[in-house]
Amino acid sequence: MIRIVYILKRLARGIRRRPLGSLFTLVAWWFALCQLILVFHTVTVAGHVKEVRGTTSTMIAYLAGAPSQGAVEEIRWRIAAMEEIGDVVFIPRQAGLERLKQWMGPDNPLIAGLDPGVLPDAFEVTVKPLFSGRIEDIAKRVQAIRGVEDVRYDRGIFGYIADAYQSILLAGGAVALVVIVSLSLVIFLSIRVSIVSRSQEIEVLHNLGAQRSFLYAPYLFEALMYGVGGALLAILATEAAAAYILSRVPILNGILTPLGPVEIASVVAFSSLWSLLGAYPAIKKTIDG
Amino acid sequence: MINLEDVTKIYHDNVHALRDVSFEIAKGECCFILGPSGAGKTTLLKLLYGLEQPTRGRATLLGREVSRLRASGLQALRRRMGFVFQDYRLIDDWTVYDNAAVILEIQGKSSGYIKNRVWQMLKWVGLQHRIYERAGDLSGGEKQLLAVIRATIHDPDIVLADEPVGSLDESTAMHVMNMFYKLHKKGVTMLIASHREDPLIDISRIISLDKGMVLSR
Repeated sequence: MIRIVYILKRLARGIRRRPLGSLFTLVAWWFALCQLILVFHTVTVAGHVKEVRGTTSTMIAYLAGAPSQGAVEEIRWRIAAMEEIGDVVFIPRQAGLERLKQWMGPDNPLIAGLDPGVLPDAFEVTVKPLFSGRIEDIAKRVQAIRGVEDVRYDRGIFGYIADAYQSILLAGGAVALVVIVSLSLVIFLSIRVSIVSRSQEIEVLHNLGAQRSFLYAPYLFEALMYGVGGALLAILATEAAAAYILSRVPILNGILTPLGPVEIASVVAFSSLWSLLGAYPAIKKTIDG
Repeated sequence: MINLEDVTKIYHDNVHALRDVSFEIAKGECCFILGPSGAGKTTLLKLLYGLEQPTRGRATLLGREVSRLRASGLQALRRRMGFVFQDYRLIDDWTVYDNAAVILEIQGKSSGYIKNRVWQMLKWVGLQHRIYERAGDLSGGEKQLLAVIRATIHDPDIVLADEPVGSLDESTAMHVMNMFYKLHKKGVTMLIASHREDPLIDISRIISLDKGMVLSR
């Protein structure tokens, strides 16, 4: 039975022999795992966004017919009275046409010669950021106000993200694959260098009749150290970044979700297992020849 | 316990290191292999330790033919033996303590046993004051003493020693040979290769080797 304390002693001796190499390996492992967790977060955010039905902060409420000044004021008052609404701006039909001309260009034949009263009067309604995730519900309630004929909004940047979900998923998979291959190379090369730098020790231990487990154990532990340490550091870094983003962008609440206990355990387990799988061929190839 | 039957070892370029060497060493016997440099002494010991393969013939230790053992079997056999290498083969950046203790760690002995045993052995040869120094910082004689400790600390069945006093001054050489003598008296089987004509201690048997051939048994 090999004593764990003795293995750790040999592990510590190996780290003391090449401290910078060990540090760089840990940093490389940490960095690669950060990428992997960020890919996970990106795909998860895209998935959550897909489930949010209306996620923009402005909408246009078109009014029916030609309302009087009093009717317009009453509709404005009713919309502004809703707690989710931040701002309501009246856009008379002439101003609406002017805006259209600006967007499409004054010489555009599509709008040349149009009747100045062709567009309806409208309100530009801004929803408070906290409630922008509920725009579909708010739009229905605005449309229910007497005098409002139609309400239009688009889903903004979240809509584009949701539409690109499949592409994000594919790109995420490709990035994850590259990161996993990088992780394998990092651990393979690092452990190989670690063993080569201690070739005299290995040769002597071999000559003394050391079992394979005795020879392998410190290097497997070293790999495990990178795996577990890198995973914990990466989780800390990415979760701190996620918490910072959430504190600055409240709209992401419920969309960008912190890693749960199961996900954290999965990251640590994957990282540990992968470090061992990457290290084993290096150990076998270098020690057994 | 040790048996060689018509063992021949030919290196590249048709260099005959050993030619039809046969002899037998019984349990508890202490045997000197004497001969000049290039006589084949080191090759003979390496064959017995499984570091070289014979071109022809059979080398048997503890009833097992060395060249036919698998890697795990050979390692298990080595753990029952001690080998004092001509060039010591210590781990230079390990401490004296760690070098002495390593074979006991390989055997999975308890921490308390290892501490006591290493201290006892280092005290026996007078190296206790250098216990936490790097092995690479020891003098040639001290390295040799440490190599002998490492080869004998685990009470092996067989000790093979290649020129164990070759680089030592007379008094240290005498000290080392006395260590072997005491081990021999404890019943350890020993095979010691040396180019000296005088074995320094009263031992049971001498085998003379020259140009790969046994001259006398």
